[in-house]
Amino acid sequence: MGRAQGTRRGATDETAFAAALAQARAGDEAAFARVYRTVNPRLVGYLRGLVGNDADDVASETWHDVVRALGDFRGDGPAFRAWTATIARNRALDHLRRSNVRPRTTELVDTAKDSPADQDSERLALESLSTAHALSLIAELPRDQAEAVLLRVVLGLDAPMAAQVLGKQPGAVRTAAHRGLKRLAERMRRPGGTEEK
Amino acid sequence: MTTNEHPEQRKGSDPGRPDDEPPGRRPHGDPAEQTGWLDAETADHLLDARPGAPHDDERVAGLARLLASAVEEADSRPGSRNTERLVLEAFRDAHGAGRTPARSRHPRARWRRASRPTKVLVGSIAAVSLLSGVAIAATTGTLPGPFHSGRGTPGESRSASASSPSPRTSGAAGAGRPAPAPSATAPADSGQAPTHPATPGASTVAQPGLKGLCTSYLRASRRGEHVDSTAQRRLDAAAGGSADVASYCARLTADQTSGQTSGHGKPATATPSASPGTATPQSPAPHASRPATPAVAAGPTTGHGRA
Repeated sequence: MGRAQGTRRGATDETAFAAALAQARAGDEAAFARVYRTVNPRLVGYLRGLVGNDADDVASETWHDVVRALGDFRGDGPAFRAWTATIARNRALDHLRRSNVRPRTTELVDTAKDSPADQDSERLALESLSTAHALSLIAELPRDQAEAVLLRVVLGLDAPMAAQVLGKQPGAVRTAAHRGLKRLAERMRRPGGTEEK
Repeated sequence: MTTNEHPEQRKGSDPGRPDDEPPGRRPHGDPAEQTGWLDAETADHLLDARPGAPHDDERVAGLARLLASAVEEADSRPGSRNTERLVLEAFRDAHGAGRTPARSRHPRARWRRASRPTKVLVGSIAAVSLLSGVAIAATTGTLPGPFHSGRGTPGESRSASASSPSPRTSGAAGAGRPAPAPSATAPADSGQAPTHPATPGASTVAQPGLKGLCTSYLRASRRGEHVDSTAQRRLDAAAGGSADVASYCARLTADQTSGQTSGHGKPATATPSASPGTATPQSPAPHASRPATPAVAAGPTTGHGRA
């Protein structure tokens, strides 16, 4: 289970990240920049499942919290990602309350520039499914499923850590993630039974 | 919670989405039949991205590719340069300790930002010592000399005030070290800072981070730039109107500055006592420890990365 992070991110990546994290906590700005650049895109990816197009803004707020509390953080790379995800989640929920909107009412696919034009062939559409729209597909799942899948897959957290972030029982998170995958699988299917390319 | 939000309801937002197909066109009506191949074990493998995952099934492989693409997609969208710069500046403000350039820059910056009373105080001390120098000179009859030392005093008291924060920066070894500067000012903020899921009702939580936002805001406006829209909204709300943000932030950050400079007046006691005394450093901690502690506890069992 713990191997999950090692496979998607690579063991050496994880080691380098842990080193950068330690340096950042000691006040090394260049190291912190590396930490930021590594984690932020994934954090934004997770936040898209919560706040849609406001993900970047909420991530920015999150990092201001992270910066202030970094001295209190103890743990390794995965723990750090879980920690930032928790802060991000709280920020996102605050954001939703503040703006008094239903979660993710904004248009999610802001990668429209990358998407094929309407008249393009299904071939292109299928290709785009495997690239530009993958994250959007997950982000558009029902929120509990989206969160579970994004935490597990995009932030590379193992099941207990994802459950920790969500404040739920690991079993519930596992179920949500499985449902999310099933739904993704359904949506991937093409009329002729063709799979995503 | 939001499970009633079916993706289908949002389809209209993206006409170009490739999977935009009416459910009726699906070959099999029964979802369970369609995804029967996706058992719990396979799902866990996919979620873990375990190398040994049985991808011989093309459908599983397709799903695995989709998940991998999502990760790639996330990584391919780096945040804006401007946001990154503001975050790094916030880091510098909070943890400038280890950086020599920042350190050499700080004393002067502090002096510049020092509140008027402090400047007056330092000036008064200079004036008094100058005058006493004159008096001494007058009595001893060595006028020119004392004048020199008298003139040197402001510089001295200035460097004294500058050096008093420097132990903070130079003694950066301690983990708590970099904290005092921001934390001494942040209590109200970070007290409820990153808002536990447990306290969802409290919308007063607009407080957390305001100081940091203000710092970013002031810095940005000095450059003629703007903070991002979310930050602006929060500041507007906190200040009671966008017109008042500048003064609000000036006040908020001035509290910080005067708090620091008062430390010069009562040497050294103010700053160090702030860290153990106030709840501030701890206040992010409970929050921080929440994910961190179990994570650390989970470390040995799961052994991620370290093992």
